[in-house]
Amino acid sequence: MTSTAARAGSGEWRPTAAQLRAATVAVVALGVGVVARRADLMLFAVPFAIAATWGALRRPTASSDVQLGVEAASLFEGQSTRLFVAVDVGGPDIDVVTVVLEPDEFTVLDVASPVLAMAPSGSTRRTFDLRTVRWGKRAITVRQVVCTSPLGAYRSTQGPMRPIRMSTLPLRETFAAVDSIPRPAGIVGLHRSRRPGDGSEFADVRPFQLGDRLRRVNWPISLRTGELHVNSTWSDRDTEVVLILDTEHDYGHSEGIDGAASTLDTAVRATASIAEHYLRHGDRVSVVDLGQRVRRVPAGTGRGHLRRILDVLVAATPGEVRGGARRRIRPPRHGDLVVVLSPVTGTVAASQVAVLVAQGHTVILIDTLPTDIVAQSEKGWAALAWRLRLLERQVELDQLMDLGVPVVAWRGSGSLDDVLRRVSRLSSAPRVRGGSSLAGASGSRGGRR
Amino acid sequence: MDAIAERSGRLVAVAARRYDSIRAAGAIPLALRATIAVAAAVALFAMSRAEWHQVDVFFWLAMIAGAGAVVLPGSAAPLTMIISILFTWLIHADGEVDGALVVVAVSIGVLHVVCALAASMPLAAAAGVDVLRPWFAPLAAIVSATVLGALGVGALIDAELDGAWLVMLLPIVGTAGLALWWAHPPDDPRSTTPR
Repeated sequence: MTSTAARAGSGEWRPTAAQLRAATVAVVALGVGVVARRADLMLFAVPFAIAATWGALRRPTASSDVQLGVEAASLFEGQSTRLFVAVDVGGPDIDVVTVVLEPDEFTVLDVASPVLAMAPSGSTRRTFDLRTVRWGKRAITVRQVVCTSPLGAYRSTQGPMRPIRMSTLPLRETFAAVDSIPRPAGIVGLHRSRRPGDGSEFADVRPFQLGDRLRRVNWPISLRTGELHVNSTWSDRDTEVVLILDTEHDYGHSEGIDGAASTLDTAVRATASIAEHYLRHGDRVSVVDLGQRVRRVPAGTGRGHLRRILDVLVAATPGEVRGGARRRIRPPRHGDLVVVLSPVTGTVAASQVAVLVAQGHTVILIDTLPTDIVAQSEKGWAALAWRLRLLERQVELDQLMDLGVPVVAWRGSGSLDDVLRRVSRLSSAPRVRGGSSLAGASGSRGGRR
Repeated sequence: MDAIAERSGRLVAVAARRYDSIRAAGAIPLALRATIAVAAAVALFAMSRAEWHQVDVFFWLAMIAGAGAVVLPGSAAPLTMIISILFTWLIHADGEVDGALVVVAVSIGVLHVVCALAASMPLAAAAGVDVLRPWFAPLAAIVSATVLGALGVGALIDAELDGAWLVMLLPIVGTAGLALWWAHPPDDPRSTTPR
């Protein structure tokens, strides 16, 4: 439960237009009636004289407390929580309390209007469903609280209140990929490797070799065959997956979980899904931001580490690369699977991928730029510049594919299956020094060439 | 031509925004504005049915201000309308206390109270019927005081009593005092607490 509170009506109570109107009409009608000796005009003064006097006598001195809260301050995209607005008036002289809620663009309230008019009698509480439809830091606040005295004579305005901040985590869809990692490096992990080694997963029974442990000897088969046999196992895999997120630019319009996605939406959601997948299978995952706008998440495992990654991803915002385009990211360990998520339109992504490939890493580039994206401004030079940039980008992608970098478009679950299989197969093949043995795995994004 | 197209486009955009705001309006604020419109229409209609009535600038001003009061109840439009009606009455009326006077006085009293309530919440406010409940008592007091005052003044005029205007003011003050007593009954601690 997270909540914020404000005291409304503690400010100055000011007469309203209604009170001034009542006093003015009463004085004018009575004055003109007396001067002109007209009883009918004096009768017009009656309702207004009563209203003005009633309003003045019941001028409030109390204040009202407004509290705003949510049941859960951390949600996944599309999830709902309960929002409550509690109004506690300090006296009987407040007839109407108007609360103006201000949710941000991607927070949807299950109420006809974010402006609530209440007639509080003591303590009043209203509860609504609140749904966040886009990852990131969301906020909801009370922009204004207006208390009105009887007959609308006096009014007190307060606000805005301190906003309630919520984190909307980007994990939405379950991502699945083939159980294939190009270069498993160690023996720690939860699932089976492609290579035999010291592990817990049974692989085969084979003749004893020098160096095999005695506890591995399969005595029944050894007795039956007359030759010493041992149980061999698959080595448990231990590979770090390095997810490199490009936050330099954000193209397209974000409409939340139910609408179109921008490039940063796709990148962040894909990063979360891939991280969740590999962490679920016991691998270590780290996250690096090319734009240096979110802090680096070092490699780790487990559900807690996934939460750490998601917490960092919600802070992703597009912006210029901090430290300049020449800044290099810390090189991953040899054998790590590097997945770069970028629209490849900035100044850093293509060059960093090329550097990583030159260092001998297995790099997969997920192209987050939608194929149907159009120029943000279709007038004048901007459209032409955008088309030129897209042509340059295509050249950069072709060059990366020539280096052996598979380029795939993000299509959710199974996006990486094909390319992972091919990369794994090629990485286990004999390598030619200086050659592009991964070239066969490149170009998974159809029609790019 | 481009300027005309641009202006007409802006007008369409403004109209669309206005239409959107009306569509987003809450039921209670809309009902309040409808009540304002009805009260203004009744006041103008009752005045127009009087024998002495003439359509002059004050009448037109009252009509326009009445429409303004529907749209902007917290503005000066209601005051403009009421003052215009007063001046029309001052200039043309024959000074008799009749049914038209009572209807107009009650209508503008209702208009005033409903404008005050409507101004306390935006058009898009989500309000329940409970918001209206505290306003019924003062509204009833105002209406009944106006009617009682009219009856009292009419009776005094018919009685043709000699004396000052003070005599005619007495029933008005009496009904006002009664209404205020209702607002603060003696058992209410606030009625004895100095403010």
